[in-house]
Amino acid sequence: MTTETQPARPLLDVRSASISFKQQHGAMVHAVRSVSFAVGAGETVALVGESGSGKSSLARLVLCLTRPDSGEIHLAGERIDHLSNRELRTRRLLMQPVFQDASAAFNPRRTVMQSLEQALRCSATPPVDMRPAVEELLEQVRLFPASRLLNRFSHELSGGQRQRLGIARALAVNPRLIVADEPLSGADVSIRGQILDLLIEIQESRGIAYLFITHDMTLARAFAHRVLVMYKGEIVEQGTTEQIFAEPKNEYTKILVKAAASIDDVAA
Amino acid sequence: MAWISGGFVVLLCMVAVLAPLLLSPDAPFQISNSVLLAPSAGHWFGTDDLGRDVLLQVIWGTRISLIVGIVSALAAGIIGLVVGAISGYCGGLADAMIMRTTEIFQVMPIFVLAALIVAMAGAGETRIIAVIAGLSWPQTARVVRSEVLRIKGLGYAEAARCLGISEFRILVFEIIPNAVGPVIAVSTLTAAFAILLEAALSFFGLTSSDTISWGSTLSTGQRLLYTAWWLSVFPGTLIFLTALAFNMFGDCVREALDPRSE
Ligand SMILES: Nc1ncnc2c1ncn2[C@@H]1O[C@H](COP(=O)(O)OP(=O)(O)O)[C@@H](O)[C@H]1O
Ligand SMILES: [Mg+2]
Repeated sequence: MTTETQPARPLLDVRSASISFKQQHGAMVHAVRSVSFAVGAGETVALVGESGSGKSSLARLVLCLTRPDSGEIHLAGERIDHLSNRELRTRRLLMQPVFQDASAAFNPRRTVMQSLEQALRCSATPPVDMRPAVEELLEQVRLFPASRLLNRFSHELSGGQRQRLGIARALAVNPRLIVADEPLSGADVSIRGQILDLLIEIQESRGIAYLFITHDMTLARAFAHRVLVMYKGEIVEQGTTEQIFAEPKNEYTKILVKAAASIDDVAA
Repeated sequence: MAWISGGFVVLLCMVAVLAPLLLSPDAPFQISNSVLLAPSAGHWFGTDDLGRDVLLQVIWGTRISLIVGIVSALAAGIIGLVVGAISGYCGGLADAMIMRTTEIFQVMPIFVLAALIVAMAGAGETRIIAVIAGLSWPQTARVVRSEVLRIKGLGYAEAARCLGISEFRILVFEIIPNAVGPVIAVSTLTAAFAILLEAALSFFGLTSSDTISWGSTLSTGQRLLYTAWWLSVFPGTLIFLTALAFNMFGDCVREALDPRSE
């Protein structure tokens, strides 16, 4: 374990969570093995690791989309992993997902207006007047002109616009944590920068925490306060971004840091 | 193709609806002395061995064929949709049992069973419809199940779950509306199959003799194929074209229902 101080009462607290899946040919995959970490309010935590290391499985555990085989998940001081879907209903509004594949993130039969309306209706205090509320959400994620986008379908938007729409839906219920699973890996480089700026801006204005999943170390370095390194289902190292990049202890982390540095060299 | 097949299906529907309004119910049964006349200005499709007008019979038969086709497809579609949705969404034991059942249905020879049931229980369109719907819903159920399994893992279903929306509402409002396209495609196949099956049953004389359908006209025709070709050619062509049109129409409807296609 690392020595850095954990937030006193973390927003999200994952304690020795594990999940395994039975694959089609019958073999068991331990996708997440006894993982522990915390995310404080307003903090950005990057979860890095190669493809297949279990990042998405961990994200789904955090979001209670699957339940852990063992371990506990606490949100805002309350254990949530053993609650029924009904009991979870209001509690899970505290954390919202943003998905990698923005094209499947919206019901193809709903317009922008209908999708955001659906989300707003789920919030603790649904707005009486939907249209201005939806337009405000769109403006918050810099989707202009809001009034012209309302009746579009998500598949009529560009990739970058769709990703912004995904963020808008997450914001609709005023979450305190956004779990973003590789939200930028589908977007091209120019759009990445814009969306990253948007996420930072939202954090500053709303004090939202991010669990930001990525396989891109450079991105983690630019964006995160702390970094979790995942390898074969385990978190092999965690620490502040400076710690991880300046003095990585784990062998696998060293390889990642080195690779990221050489990419930076090429880019420079 | 969309227009041709769609137009043909619409035309048939109009014929089926208008026939009883414009024709007296016994017109197609009207026996006359002018037996086995070849197609002419007076009898466009000729007459049969009892002097009945073949055009009138074909028009009257459209009703039976379409009703059997559409109603059994509709019934099979609805049953399949409900069963498939339950199977895909609930998973577990219910799913396993439903899937084993559909597998049993899949190896059943529908035609033989339908013939047996009609022969034992007696003829009648309702029975034919019930048999076809009862035997062909499993196809739809399997399609729906795989669609439900696919969609329930997609981002928008997961997002709805994270918004605290109940599983039932997710199934009804997010998943099923996006699973109906393939259902319609399968249903039009069922309709085409039902029309063929009804024709085949009538052809073998397994339907009641006082209803006229394309199959029963065709059945008379095949005995007289070399003397009166028109008795076989007209209803036969219609059966063929209708089954074809339903197939193509289904593809078009499915494409039109896909919100992503332009
Ligand atoms: N629902 C599932 N069923 C079976 N295996 C799964 C399932 N989800 C994930 N896995 C397996 O778990 C491992 C981790 O996958 P994943 O969490 O998607 O990793 P990552 O997001 O880091 O690429 C992979 O080997 C994957 O095949
Ligand atoms: Mg992943």
